[in-house]
Amino acid sequence: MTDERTMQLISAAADGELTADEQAELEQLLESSSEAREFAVQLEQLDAILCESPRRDVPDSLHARIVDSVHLPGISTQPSGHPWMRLPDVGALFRYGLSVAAGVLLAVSLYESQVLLTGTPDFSDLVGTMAPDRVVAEADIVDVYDFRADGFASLAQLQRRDGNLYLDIQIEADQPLDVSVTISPAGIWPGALAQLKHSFESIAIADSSLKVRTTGERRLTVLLSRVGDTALDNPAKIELEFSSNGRLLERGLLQAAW
Amino acid sequence: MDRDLETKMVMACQKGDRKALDTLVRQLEKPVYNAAFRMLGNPDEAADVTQATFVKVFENIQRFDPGRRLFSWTYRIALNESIDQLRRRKRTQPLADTPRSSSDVPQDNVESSQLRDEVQAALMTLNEEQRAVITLRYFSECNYRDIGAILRLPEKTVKSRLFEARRKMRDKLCQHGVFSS
Repeated sequence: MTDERTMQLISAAADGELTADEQAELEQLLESSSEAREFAVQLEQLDAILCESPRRDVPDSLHARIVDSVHLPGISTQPSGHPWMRLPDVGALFRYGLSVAAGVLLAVSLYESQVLLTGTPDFSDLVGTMAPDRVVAEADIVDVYDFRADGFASLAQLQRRDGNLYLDIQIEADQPLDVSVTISPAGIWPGALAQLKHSFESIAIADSSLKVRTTGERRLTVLLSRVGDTALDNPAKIELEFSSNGRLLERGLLQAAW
Repeated sequence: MDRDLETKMVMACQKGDRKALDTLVRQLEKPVYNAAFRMLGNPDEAADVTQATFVKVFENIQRFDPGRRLFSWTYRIALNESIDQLRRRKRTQPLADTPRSSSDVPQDNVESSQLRDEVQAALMTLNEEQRAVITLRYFSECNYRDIGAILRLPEKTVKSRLFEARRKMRDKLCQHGVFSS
């Protein structure tokens, strides 16, 4: 009959939780007892069967059931089909030596569903069909930065959707909050933006950077554009700076491989 | 999911981000469902317990300290929900979804399928505490420390419970001729 101590050592050995002394003790015990060896073999078989037991797939409808039944507090970040505003290729403008130091100060007075394009929209190919709502692909969140201070809250996410990277920023501010976004490495710039839940007080765009000022509840999504293979080897880095009335509140960083 | 990203996702959920909720549920639903299934031996009950677990987790997400591991907390709730479900049943029953006859299992897998059923039946003979440690050790791949954190037990107790559970399962399998005694 194998004694209790030996069986306990064999069990712990199956978990890789023996000390060196216990391991040596067990080896001696196994050498001297065929019963102990038999017990060890049986536990090894049991271990193998349990380890190899297949994991069951979750029933098809369960994920939706779970997500639908959970209520979260606070602001929501459901993807939305809000219009995109194309921005000039400021990186290219820089390469041609043009200064965009003043950026593009947009006196934005967009209604939520209004499309704004730089230049005159080209409707020449429009043949008069009402298109159905575009289906917004599910985005993967690849990095998140959460900022909270007295009177301010912001959630910044780097999302990947359809092979593109998007920067999504939600803001709740009791008083004017300045958010500065600096994108690196060189060759990546804010290519397009959509703003949801009313307009920002100001948006300034320069080469690889974006500054917004706002009060209240706002949301901004920025499509990141890149030149050629830029950032394929190095991750895209998004530096965030939150300040109010000239006082720096917090700095943060988001990053992701393209 | 690495710890930093998990922490960020939890914080995003605390702010009401349903995308982060979706990501976290997707990450944890399979191991939680499998743990519940091993505790209960019934796929429908395991699905109900999994749903109830996540509802509880996210109902209380505001109070969760993002410095802790979400999976430990979630497993703990899942195991407690499973134990409550077992108690509601009032009696332990053998694996409810084992009526997998050889007709719906490829012939060359019949033997291993029967063996797995024997093992699951042996698992169902353990008491709740023993079944919880076996479930966490084998179906959630937790080590002693993780199991201790989830069940709030000292590692020594985890070790002795695992030993007792294995010995009992081994005895049961010997009785059924799976192992020679």
